[in-house]
Amino acid sequence: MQQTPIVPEPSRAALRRLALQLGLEFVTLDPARGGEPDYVEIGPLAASLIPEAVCRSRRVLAIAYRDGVVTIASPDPFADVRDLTDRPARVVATTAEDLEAAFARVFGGAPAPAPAAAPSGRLGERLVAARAATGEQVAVALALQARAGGRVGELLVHAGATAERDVAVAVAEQLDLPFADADAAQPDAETVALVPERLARALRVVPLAAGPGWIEVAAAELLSEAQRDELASASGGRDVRLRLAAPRALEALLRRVHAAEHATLARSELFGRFPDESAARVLSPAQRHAGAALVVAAVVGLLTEPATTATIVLGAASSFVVAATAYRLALAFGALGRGGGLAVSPAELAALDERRLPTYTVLVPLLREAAVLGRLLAALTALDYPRHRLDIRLLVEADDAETLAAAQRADLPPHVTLVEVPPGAPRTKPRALAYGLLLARGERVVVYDAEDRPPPDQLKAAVAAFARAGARVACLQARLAPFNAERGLLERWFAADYAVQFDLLLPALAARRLPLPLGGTSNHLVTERLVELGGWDPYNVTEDADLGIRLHKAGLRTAVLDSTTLEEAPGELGNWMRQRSRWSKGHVQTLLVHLRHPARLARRLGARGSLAFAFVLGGALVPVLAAPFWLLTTLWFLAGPGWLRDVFPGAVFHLAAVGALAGTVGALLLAVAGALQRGLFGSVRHALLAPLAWGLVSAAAWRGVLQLPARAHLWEKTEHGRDRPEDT
Amino acid sequence: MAVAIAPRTIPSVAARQAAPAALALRAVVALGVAAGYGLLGAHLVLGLDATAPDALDRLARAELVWHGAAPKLAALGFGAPPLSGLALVPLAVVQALATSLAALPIFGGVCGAVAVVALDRTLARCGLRALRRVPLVAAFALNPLVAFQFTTGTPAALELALLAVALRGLVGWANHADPRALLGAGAAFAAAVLTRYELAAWALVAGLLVAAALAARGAPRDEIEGSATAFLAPAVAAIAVWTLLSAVIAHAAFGWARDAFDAGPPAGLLASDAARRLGDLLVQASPLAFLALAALLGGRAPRRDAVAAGLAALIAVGATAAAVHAYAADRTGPLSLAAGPPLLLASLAGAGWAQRGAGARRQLLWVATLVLLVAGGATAWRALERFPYQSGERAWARALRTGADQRTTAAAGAIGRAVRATGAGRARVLADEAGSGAAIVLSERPAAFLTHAGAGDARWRAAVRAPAGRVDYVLAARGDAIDRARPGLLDGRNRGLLVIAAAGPYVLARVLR
Repeated sequence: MQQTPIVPEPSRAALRRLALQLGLEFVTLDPARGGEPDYVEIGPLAASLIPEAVCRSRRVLAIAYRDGVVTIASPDPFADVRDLTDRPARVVATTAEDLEAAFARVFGGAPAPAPAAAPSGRLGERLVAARAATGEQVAVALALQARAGGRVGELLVHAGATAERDVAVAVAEQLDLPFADADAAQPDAETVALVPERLARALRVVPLAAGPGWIEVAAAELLSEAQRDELASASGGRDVRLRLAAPRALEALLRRVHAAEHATLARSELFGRFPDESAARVLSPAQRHAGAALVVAAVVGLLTEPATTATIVLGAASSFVVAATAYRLALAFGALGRGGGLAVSPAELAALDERRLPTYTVLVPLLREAAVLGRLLAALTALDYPRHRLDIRLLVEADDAETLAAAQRADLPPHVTLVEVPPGAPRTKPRALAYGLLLARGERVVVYDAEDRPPPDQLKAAVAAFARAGARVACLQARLAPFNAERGLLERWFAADYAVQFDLLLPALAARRLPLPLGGTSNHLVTERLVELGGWDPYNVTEDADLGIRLHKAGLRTAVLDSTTLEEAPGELGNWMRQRSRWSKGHVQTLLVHLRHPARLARRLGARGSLAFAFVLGGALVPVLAAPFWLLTTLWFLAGPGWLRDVFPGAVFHLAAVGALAGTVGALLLAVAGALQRGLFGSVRHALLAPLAWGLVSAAAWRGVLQLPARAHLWEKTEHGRDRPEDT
Repeated sequence: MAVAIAPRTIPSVAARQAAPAALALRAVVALGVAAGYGLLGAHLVLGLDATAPDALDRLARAELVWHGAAPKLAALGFGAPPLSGLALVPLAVVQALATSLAALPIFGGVCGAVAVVALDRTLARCGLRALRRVPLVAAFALNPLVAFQFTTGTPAALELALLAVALRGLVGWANHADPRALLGAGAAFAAAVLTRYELAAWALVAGLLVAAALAARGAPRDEIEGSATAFLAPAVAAIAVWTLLSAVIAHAAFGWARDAFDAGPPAGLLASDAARRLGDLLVQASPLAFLALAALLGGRAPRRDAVAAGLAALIAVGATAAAVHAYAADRTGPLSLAAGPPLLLASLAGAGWAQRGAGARRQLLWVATLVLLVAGGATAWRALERFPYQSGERAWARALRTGADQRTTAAAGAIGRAVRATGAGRARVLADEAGSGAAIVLSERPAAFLTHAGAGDARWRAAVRAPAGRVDYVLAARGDAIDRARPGLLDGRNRGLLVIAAAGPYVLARVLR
């Protein structure tokens, strides 16, 4: 086949000029030119940092290793070398002749002549030769590569110029490896079982065939020597033969051959590793015994000393309500009027080097969301982040035919993967997230809901904020606010409530380095840390709040990102009640999980952290506790004190009144502060109606708590897409 | 699309963060002021027995909360504004602090520290540098009327502290449009209302100030309404809560409002009397008010400074409200000397604001302010001796001047010892804590008393009507509810009750069977 190089090999002088223009150093490696000022002697130690096969196939050579930075010479000034070494690396330009001669000196043997009929080693040339891309497309990709990094192949795929399979075929040829058609592969179970699932997932390989002493695996990347050794060791000392496959096809194959294991992992990864951290069981045996003892004591007390018992119970509850309300008010007031959170300026965003951005996984769990899918994809498409570093995963329940069909019709771009979450219990959002996390590629991961509208720069802002926040910050919670905040009373209450939570309480907690319950979406996580923690708890219906506490218990921190994701406030009472019930149930679940070992929890959280845990997460109990207060005081007003006083002494009424009033006034002031903080001035007067909302919140809280014994893991979905078109 | 945006009024965090050194200096100043007032108060109250009756009354209620026959928060009662009693509750947990009266100068010192530091910050936000602030703040702090409140721990001490915080917030908001300052000012006004109901009028005017200031800045209607509502919400909530608690516990939702008009004997005040007394009060206790009003209205009106107009209205309404309250209730209490320091505080804040942009007249205004503050100190010193409506000020001034023991609690102490000598059991001495608070505290036996708030209205009234079998002793004070219900008791002419001890306005009688 006649090949026409699309980028002619530049001369030494031309390459030197090009390197200069690109701000790269040009080096001469030929000892015969040792007198030239840019001559560099190759360090033997540095040269051994990258395997010979890789050096030859990628046309690179490590020539120096100084101050922790590897200097890699390449005739390709745009060469992406980040995957060649774990150490920081920089590229310097050299000529192809110098490089080939250096190979001969360093690795021995004469430089291998290129096959006469084969195209050059460059991927672009191969793709053009195979008519998988045009020269112009490759040139565009190269230009993009200079700005945003990445490999030419993936850039071409994300630009829609080339099919992923064609790139994989070309890369396989380039590396002199056989190609694996992962779509058609049907490896038998025994072969698959030769490599443990966890290792297969980590290395992204699927065993295709095996024989005595050898195993053939499909992979999307060239494996390092260490990875090959690991595979060999895991498969009983077999010799590893590699086939290269298209990444998405390989992932689909990986998911197909490990379907059952993945479903199990999504359900029980956390429970299997940290059973005490999982809400799979509502109560631990000790909690059951303690709860039973308390109930018996209360019943006996009410039968024998009803007034005293009621006074003690209401006194304790009232004290807790007053303390929790005061704590939350103090936190909120401290944050009022302050920016709060990590703010990233436009200049910082502009200064980000796109070539160094981490791969970002965006997980979007979807259930019956066909109506909002178009809007969701528009919001995700608007994200300002290099496509080849984006790994968006739409997690759709396998039996949700409508959403699946809508997603399939949507002609998803290469950076968006449709993931079918296998049916199974518990049918919850965190189970879908756990499933989605299994094959996530990102170094960072963020969760968005179907109706979310993150600002386009949020991912970049998170990257910049992570870089500034320090190694212990494993999570950034972006603020949330409804886009339909001024539509109706429920929406206004919801907006004020969100403002309290995301604009006041969470920034205040984060600033004090206290544990904070995460919000349901827009929490950006360091994937490695998340995986170490066991991911989300599929049994907890407020997995976000739970994860926030687990992060803190593990010695990690959460900061608030000063970037607001807009989402939809439920405007229908039933929808609103279901969401509130779930939150209450989940918060109580979370309290019960973390209170299984109170002393251990107190040690891990510290005194201040324990207070925050009790009064912020425990604050979920305030509306639960306030309901009887309201009931008693209302009864008093309606029925008069006569007969009631005979049943309950004055002290009971007084405590109930104090609890009810503290809860209500606290809610009112918090709502006012929240509305003020977010600039929802028109909602301030509605915040004065917070006592009405308080009643609804109490009802929803009781509904959620009463679900706990029998339907602890029931996920009552919030319906989206109910807002009017003008709100969108 | 109605998307929420951050309030345009929120300034950058960096601009509002005080330097640690400045915070430390403020803390040192606060400690110094608290110690100064506290030590002077200890000398006067504990050493020279120069106490304020209102302070003793609140202390008695706070002590009853912990150590009464029926320990409960409701022992604070629902007549008087609750916050000054409530603020003493933490100190009264140590009974010795209450019975020795040491709680009062401690409480006053803390209030004084808060007030002085808040006033300093208010003036700082008006643009006055430290060298100009310090003489003004010192002149205020050393004003005898002000010092009286903070050394004796009167309810007005807490009122002054809260008002200072409220003014600081208001001026801070007006200066930087900071929502925290706005809500903080609203919360402080709400708390202040619960120390003196009359301050509801101040809060209302301040709310109007907020609205007017935003309107003058061209803020949209939503922002005006939202900000004013947010500012007033705490005060409205505080009044609503107090009303509800009064209904639930005292079975009189608006009893507190009624009591605000019924406290003390009728004075036969005419409108002209009230106006004249108000004039006397202003001239003697806060002559600065006249300068502040003139400077705020005269200097700033052409520039449409709504904040200046609002502060002027605050001073004017604050003064007028006292006179109207006195006239409407036909009581002299609202025009007593205790009404002077809040007006002085507001006047100083107003004068500070007026200096904010006074240009060439700034120096002159500052000098005039200082002169009037110093002169006001002198007139206040005279008022302590001569002003007709007082509550312990005269004895305090005499103690300070002569160093002689004023024996203001001698009678209460004597009757308290008599109670102790009876060895009465729990809730066996009927008393009205509104009149006999000092005696209850000094008896060191608060659990022996059957008090109005402690026993509840029905039980207490039944005991007043027919003490036999319900209590063993009755302690009455001139003008209190028991004296009014059982005329002649103070003269020993009440059937069924045998006076066994009498001192000053008090009698202790044994119940005959």
